[in-house]
Amino acid sequence: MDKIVRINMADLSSRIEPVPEEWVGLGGRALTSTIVATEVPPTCHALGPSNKLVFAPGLLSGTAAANSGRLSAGAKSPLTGGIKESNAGGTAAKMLAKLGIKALIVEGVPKEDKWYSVHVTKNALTIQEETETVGKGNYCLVNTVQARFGLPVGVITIGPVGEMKMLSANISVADPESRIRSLGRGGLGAVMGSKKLKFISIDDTGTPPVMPKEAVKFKEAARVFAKTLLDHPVSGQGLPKYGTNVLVNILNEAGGLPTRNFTSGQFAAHDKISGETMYETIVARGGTPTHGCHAGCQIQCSQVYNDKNGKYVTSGFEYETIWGLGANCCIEDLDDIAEADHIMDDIGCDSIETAVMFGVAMEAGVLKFGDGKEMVRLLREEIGKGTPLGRVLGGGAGQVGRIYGVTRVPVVKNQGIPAYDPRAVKGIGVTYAMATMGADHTSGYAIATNILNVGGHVDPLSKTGQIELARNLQIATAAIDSTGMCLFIAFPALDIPECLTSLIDMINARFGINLTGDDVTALGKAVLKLEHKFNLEAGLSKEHDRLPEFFSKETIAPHNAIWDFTPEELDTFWNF
Amino acid sequence: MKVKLKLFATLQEYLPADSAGGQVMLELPDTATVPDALGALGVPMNLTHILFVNGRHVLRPERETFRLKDGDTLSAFPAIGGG
Ligand code: SF4
Repeated sequence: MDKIVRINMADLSSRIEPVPEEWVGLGGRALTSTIVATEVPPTCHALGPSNKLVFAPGLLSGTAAANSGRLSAGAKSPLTGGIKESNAGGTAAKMLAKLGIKALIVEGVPKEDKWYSVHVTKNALTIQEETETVGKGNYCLVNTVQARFGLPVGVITIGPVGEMKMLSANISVADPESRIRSLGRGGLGAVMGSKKLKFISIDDTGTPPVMPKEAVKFKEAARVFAKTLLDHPVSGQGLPKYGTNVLVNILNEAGGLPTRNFTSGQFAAHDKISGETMYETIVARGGTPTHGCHAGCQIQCSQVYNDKNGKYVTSGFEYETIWGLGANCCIEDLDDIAEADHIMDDIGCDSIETAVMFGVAMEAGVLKFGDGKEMVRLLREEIGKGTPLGRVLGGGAGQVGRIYGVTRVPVVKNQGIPAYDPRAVKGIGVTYAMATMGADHTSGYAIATNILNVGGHVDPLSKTGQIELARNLQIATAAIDSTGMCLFIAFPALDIPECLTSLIDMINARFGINLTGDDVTALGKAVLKLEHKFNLEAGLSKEHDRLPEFFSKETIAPHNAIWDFTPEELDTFWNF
Repeated sequence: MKVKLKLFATLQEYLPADSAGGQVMLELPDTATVPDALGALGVPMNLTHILFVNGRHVLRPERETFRLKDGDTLSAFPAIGGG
């Protein structure tokens, strides 16, 4: 029987509740956002006792459905001041789903200045004081905790950056190889740190797999679904071979690869950091080009990147990280970027926020553009150790811009703009401006249609059709984020009709219900609207649905593109 | 006329062994089209999914007859994605 688990850090108690009727059809982002919008006062301090940190597996997590193992976390974001959902793979979502935990809600802050851990099993939930792993990085923590239990338990953790409540702090989960995946954006690690919760460990021993209500129907739908992932060239071939970093070259060709803190759309050294180069490097060094972030992932966009001596450096080495430290900071050495990625995973900070921050810090003169060694030092010695400079940098791009008086600060709702220049790829610009999450490419990935010719084509340099595109993608994404599915199923879903119908069939068979495509769209709309309402009540008005001024003042080479949407045009996004 | 052809991802296997940086300079007749340029290296049109001429998309069906000019850069990708 599914249940809601509440942990109250104020008195170190926990309780189990039945799932309220109105939450039964919700999972992942739909559930975290509903709980946050219902129970968290929008004007509360995100690091204070009224905020709640909610973890929820998706509707299909724990089943045999391909790519269904994503874990959502939600809270009020200390970075944006609005609602936040962030998700990642790892083993925790499946384990929580097998334990019947539909949502785990962490409330309150402890009275004493001590750290705690939570351990969840089939029969019990224990809250204990934690000392051994305090101050430790995520890699060491996962090993320590799994050794303590003698099992590959699921682990949800924060690093030192989260302990110090810096706004770039992320939450990490252990992957099947006990390495790190991150729920990156919005500073949710600082919320976990404010609750003095170092980690949650999950032991699903003795629980059966999640059984769909209609097993035969489910199996057939799962087969059709998996086939569409295999048949689409992006999810079946492109992502497994090159990972997401194949995007460096195409964004460079399109003139939309933000370079040198968003002052150009092309990076002269793009080939040194490209997906093609990375693939060859990985293979030559005995790494793994094709790897999944959770057991049921069929697409496997992840990879294992080794150093020159064949020793593991990092996995889940994503385009946005490589763009951010590469083109955006003009660092040409993939090994420096990989080392930085490892450190960010270990100390627990968002690689996108941190990369955008470094671009601003370089413009401010804190370090030089292209200085990969100093960047690695700042991560390890300053941010990781929480020196005064480290705490400035760990507060993200917006904070560094304010402190150093930089005017070219690429953030929306104080969250760093990723990897795609909004002037040269206008659909993603609309997503950045309007997303309830702040600048977040995954909220409505218009790159698919603007650049990659997936789901048709809308000219990236023209305003025509972009608002509708971004709106439709954001609605669809809000729904997909609720299923526990990795967002990359959107590539086949945009081109192959059976992908979406079989996904809905799986949800119906799982719960014995009868959702239609329209119901799923309605769910996506409802999620966006309740997130938007929360943001408005938190004080994020329509004036926050805008890009920074410099995008409409400075053109970007090579197309001399400019951001030219009017406020009135942008506001029509919400007409649905 | 001279046209720069850049190939990416799996299409790079069509590059001549002595090429560098994923690109070649082609000498083509003045009437050459996108398929002519790709054909010069034996790249089948159906393996290309995203084509740019000078950083602007060239789409189906126009791409089949799209005329190139001296100094153009043609960039070709298979179906790829990320995010
Ligand atoms: S496709 Fe990539 S991000 Fe998605 S579930 Fe698989 S490894 Fe994780």
